[in-house]
Amino acid sequence: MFKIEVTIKKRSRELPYSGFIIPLSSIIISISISLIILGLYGVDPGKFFKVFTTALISPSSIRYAIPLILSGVGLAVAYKANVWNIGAEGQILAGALVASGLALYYIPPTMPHEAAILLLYIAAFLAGSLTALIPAILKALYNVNEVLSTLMINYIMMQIVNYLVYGPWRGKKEYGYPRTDIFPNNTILPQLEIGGLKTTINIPTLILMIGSAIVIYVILFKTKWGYEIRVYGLSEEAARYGGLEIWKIIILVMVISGGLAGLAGAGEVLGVYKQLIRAERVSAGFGYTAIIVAWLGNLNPLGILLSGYFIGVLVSMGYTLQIFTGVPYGTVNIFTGTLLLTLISLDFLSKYSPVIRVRR
Amino acid sequence: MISLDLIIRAILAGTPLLIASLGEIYTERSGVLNLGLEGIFVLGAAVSFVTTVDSGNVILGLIFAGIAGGILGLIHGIVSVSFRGRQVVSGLALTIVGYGIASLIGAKYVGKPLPTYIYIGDKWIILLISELAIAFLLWYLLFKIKLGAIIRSVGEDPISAYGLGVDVVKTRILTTLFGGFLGGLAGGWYVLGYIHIWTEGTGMGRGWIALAIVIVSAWNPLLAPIFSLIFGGVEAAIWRFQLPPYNFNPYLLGATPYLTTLLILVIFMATPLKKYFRPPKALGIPFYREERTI
Repeated sequence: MFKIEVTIKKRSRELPYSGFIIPLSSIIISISISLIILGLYGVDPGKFFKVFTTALISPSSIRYAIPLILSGVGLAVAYKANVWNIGAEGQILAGALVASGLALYYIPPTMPHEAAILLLYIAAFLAGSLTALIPAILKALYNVNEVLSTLMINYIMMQIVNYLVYGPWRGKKEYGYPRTDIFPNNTILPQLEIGGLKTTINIPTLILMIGSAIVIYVILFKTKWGYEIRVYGLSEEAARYGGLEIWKIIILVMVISGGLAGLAGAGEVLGVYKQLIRAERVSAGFGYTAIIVAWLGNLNPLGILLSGYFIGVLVSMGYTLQIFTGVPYGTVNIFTGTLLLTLISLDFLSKYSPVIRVRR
Repeated sequence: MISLDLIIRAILAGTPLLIASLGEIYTERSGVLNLGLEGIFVLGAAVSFVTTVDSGNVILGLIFAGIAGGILGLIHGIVSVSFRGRQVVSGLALTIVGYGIASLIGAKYVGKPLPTYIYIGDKWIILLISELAIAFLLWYLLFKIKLGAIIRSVGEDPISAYGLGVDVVKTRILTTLFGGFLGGLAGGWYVLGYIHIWTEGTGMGRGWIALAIVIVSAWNPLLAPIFSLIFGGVEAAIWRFQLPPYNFNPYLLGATPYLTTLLILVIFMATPLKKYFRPPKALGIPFYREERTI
């Protein structure tokens, strides 16, 4: 009888270029798995690739990448500190809700465009931050599990938005549909035009997205704050011995990540829909998809610019597939979820090597 | 206000939550946090519906839902225990995969009627008694016999358990598989035994509530029925308060289960009750056997 023994050893060094090879091979593996699943379901792989390549150059991919990258960069800050903010979905909704309320009821139509937009962005950032502040305080004070608290707040925010669009905020000119009236002109974000055609990409949020990725990169990797965030993320014990004030770190990372998600929410309603619509359509799961974006980008804001674009392509592809082949949009979730699973499994293999021995 | 009707509804609504949380208690007692439970529940709901519509057999529906959940549980076990992936990330990824597969397999079945379902009617008392019996049995297995001691030891102190000859990796993977199986079964029961209908998104959010029940039940199978009944009661009350003479807004009422969960978590963590709710020491921490650098 032979006995196969597998032991696992830590590599003295990580595999070279693992930061690049791992995401790439995860993408290839998860594409293969998804193609098999879709094939079993009777979707022609040729059609799949055609839709995929079209999405690669479609402006709608950038349109979806904007909220994903903004929220993803914010989530990366929290995850670097090992704080599990799963609440981007609710924080996006909070930003969207506050921006909509102000645009509809409080911003006078005479206010200059730039001032109105600046005010709305600030308000949306604060709304997202405050939504994230609740679980942050609960964690800092009472050690309440932030995974569950942020999740619960997502659902509460969804119900509040739906209450408003079905109730007090329902538009008078919308024929009874569950959505608000169109916002006044001075609160709507200008959209990018390509060849004279308007796209759904709004320029100010696009600029904010790139700017925040750079700023967060600098904060995380070049400042004392970033250093403390990373130390706490690596080891809570080390952070305590080092005399770091942990509650401050928890609150800081949650406020940043909630605020960026809030900006994403404002961008969606002010720059894409121009009105507040049902919660399931405003954020459309972007808050959860952004978690994948953050990890696929290796929690590095510059990596997230790439991963966010890639996932934006997938989202755009998902909607196209649904329209033209009847494959439900949710199928994209199989793809992105498998991608994340493959990613963390391969990450293990870059740090450890399995040694297989056969014994008699 | 509290009528027998409401209590029966609370039991019916609480049953799937109880099944899912009992499984997750085993998973977490062995040191593995499975946030994939949410996706497993949603997938179980879809699988049971599709299977029952095609076969006309509820038992088959429940079994397939359990198997689907078990497979996802096994994947979580392999990724987070063998490959030491972060448990939170692996679990969330699985939830997303579960949502995706559920909407793919269910797409062509939306709107079809269930040919048969589990009818409880006035047999709710039997349902309640069997739930309590199962919870007691699982408590007994976990706290009174060697198998349970092994499961708890790998969740409390895996290194010592390993030293005593326990296969930590195998134990953890098996409890995660078991938790996944019950999670899938719970989703199946939710469709076949409670709401009797399926559309895309059915069951979403229930898995998270089951995870919260695990915490407030202090990882104890005997307490899980009480909290499942409370959360089931909130769901039943939502239905009641939408009707006259109350006429509360359904959207604001819809937020109450989540608000209740949040409040209960805070109450348990912020008061002296906290010391009774101590999680397994090694929960969420991957197990490392002695290693040499090569």
